[in-house]
Amino acid sequence: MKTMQRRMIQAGMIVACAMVCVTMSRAQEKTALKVELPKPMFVGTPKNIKTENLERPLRPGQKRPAIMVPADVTIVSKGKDVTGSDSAPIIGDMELLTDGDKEGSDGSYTEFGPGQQWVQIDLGETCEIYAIAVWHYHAQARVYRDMVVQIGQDADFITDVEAVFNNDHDNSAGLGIGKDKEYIETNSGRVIDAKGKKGRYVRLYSNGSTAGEMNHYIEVEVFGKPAS
Amino acid sequence: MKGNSKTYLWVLFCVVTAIVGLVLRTQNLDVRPMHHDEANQAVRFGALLEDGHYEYDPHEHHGPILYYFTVPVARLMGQDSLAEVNEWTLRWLPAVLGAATGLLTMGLAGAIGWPAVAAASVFVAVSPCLVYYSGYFIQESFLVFFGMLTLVCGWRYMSSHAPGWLILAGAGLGFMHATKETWVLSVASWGLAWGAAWLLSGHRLKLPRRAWRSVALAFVIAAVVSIVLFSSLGMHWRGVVDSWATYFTYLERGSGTGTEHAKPWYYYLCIMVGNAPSRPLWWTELWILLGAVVGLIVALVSDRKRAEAFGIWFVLAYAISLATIYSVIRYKTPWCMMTSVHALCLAAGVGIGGLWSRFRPVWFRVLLTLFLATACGHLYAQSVRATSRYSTDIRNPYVYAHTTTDYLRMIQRIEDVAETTGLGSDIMVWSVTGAHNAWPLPWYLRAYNQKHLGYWNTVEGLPLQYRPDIWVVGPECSESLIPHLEEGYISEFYGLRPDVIMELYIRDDLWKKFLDTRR
Repeated sequence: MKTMQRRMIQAGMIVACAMVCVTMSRAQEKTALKVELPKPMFVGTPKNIKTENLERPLRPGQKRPAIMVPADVTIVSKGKDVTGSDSAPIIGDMELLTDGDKEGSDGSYTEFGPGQQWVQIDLGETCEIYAIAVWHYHAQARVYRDMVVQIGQDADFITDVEAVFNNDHDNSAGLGIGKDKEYIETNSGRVIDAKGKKGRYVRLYSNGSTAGEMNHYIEVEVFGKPAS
Repeated sequence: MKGNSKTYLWVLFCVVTAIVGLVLRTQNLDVRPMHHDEANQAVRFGALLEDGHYEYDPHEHHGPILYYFTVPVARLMGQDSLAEVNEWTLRWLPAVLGAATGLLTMGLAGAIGWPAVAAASVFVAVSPCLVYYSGYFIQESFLVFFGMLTLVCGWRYMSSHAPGWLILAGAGLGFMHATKETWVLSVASWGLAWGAAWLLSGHRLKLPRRAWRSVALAFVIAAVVSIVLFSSLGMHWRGVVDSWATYFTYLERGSGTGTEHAKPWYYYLCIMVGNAPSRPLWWTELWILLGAVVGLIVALVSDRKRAEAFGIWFVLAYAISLATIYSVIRYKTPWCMMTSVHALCLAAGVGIGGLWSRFRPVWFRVLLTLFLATACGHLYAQSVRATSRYSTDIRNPYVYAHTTTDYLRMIQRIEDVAETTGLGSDIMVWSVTGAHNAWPLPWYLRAYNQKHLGYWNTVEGLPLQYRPDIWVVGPECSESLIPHLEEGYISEFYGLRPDVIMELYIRDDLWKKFLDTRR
């Protein structure tokens, strides 16, 4: 009887170990990141722009290559504190950037002052960041200038700063010449592969758009998990 | 003493209103990029300034006043060539005339009463539509000013019978003709308003004996003013004929055929009413509309003396008829609203003045003053917004096909490349943009060596064997030109107007030199 009990305990332990292993391996297993998109606000894009500095718009039905992230990655930015170079936005407020509302209509976006501005999200703890999705303004086809996205460990972005996106091709922002391309804003926003970089803060720069000198943000989503 | 105090107060009110109107109109005059139409007219003005050359074009660009009246402004500024002229020089006079229109409005006090003209002049000073377009180098501000001048002088003649007023009115009429073809709409609505005021008030204005002499003299003066200006000071007599033949062109355009500016009748009304207050920016001139409606109601229920009622009915009928005429015409651009909005300001003044005169308790007048202060405060705030941060923003309802501020970055880029490469004003820039996207580039390149600049509407006929330093390419021409520019150039793009993006091609060697200065 005791032997029977011992065997059952052993079997149970084996199953439990197997389950932990499976769970761990699943956590390491990568899946395609799914981003929930808002409703499109306009149809079509500006005509025939083919400069090498501008990313070609997607054809109808065409999708960008998926970003592979661990299965346990979540949105770690939702409801987190947002600060910025323009502490008193012209329209809206900082909270709108992380409130989960990605619609392009009035009342969903925050408008910051003219010229180069930045916004910064404090994730509250150091995280492994796998992707950053950003929607500037998608009620009209426009291109935001000098977009630079950085991940940092301190709020002042002095040490361990890493740029995960930079399309400032002439270094007008003074953060280095970027190799990424500019793109036309749509409801798809822009999902940036952050490749699991560690950091507590995410900072996004922009310098107006083809429509004017103001800077806009509808939503920023940071996909990651607490750093182990 | 009591009378003196009132006079001082009135003078103070006029001065403050004029200053507010002037400050609103002149702040940030040079900040907003030049609109397509402004730039086009500026280059025509440049020909007059430099060579004394002007010919009236019966198909475009309207009358000669804008150009001739801006010459002394440029001379005063010490500017003798287009290259020296700046936005401030061009936009200053329309802005000043816009503010002066508010002062002129006071001249109708005899017709509609002091409280009414006071309210109307405040509305004129702060109306976002009037403020915003007064800062444009276009004809509208002149038309409103000369229209008001004619109306006030005409009215003063009717009440004083002094022929001097009629002579001034004649000059005003001539200037109106030489300003813009739509002057006929103002004159037509005056005619309609006169008839309506006569019928509704029962009052018949009496003209002095032998008034026909003064009237004839006024028309002669109007004709002389018009002929002198349209004939380019006697150098282009064809312009005088064209100043009347032009109505065939504008009649066709007004019907909406062959124009992309055809819009439904309620287009102007929608701008006046504005968007829903829940939106982040509430743009509306509903206050003025509301004042005009109150004016109508007060006029209907009041039992004024016939002579007083005539002036009030004239102003109300003028506002209604002019707004109706402009709404019926299919061709619509928002700056055409200016004359209607000004007339509606007068009607709104009648509304406020009517309430002021009819209800005398102190508490009511305090409430009315508070209402007026709130309304004008909101209009003032919109005007500030419209002329500053939102001066080119499409959420501003007065922004119509305006050049974006991003376009200024393109101009800056051309300047920077010219400077860093040592080419300076001799840089060779070729522009192939399509007819609709050609402007305002010639304005912004006015200080460069014009022999090194080229402007084409299509790719056909382009001497592609040459390799200019910079190409500016419009979306219509991009497809056929890109194969020639794929090698040896780097490309950038810049917004011209909402949804219109221009491409800028900079020769590789110049780009490398430029970039070296930015590392």
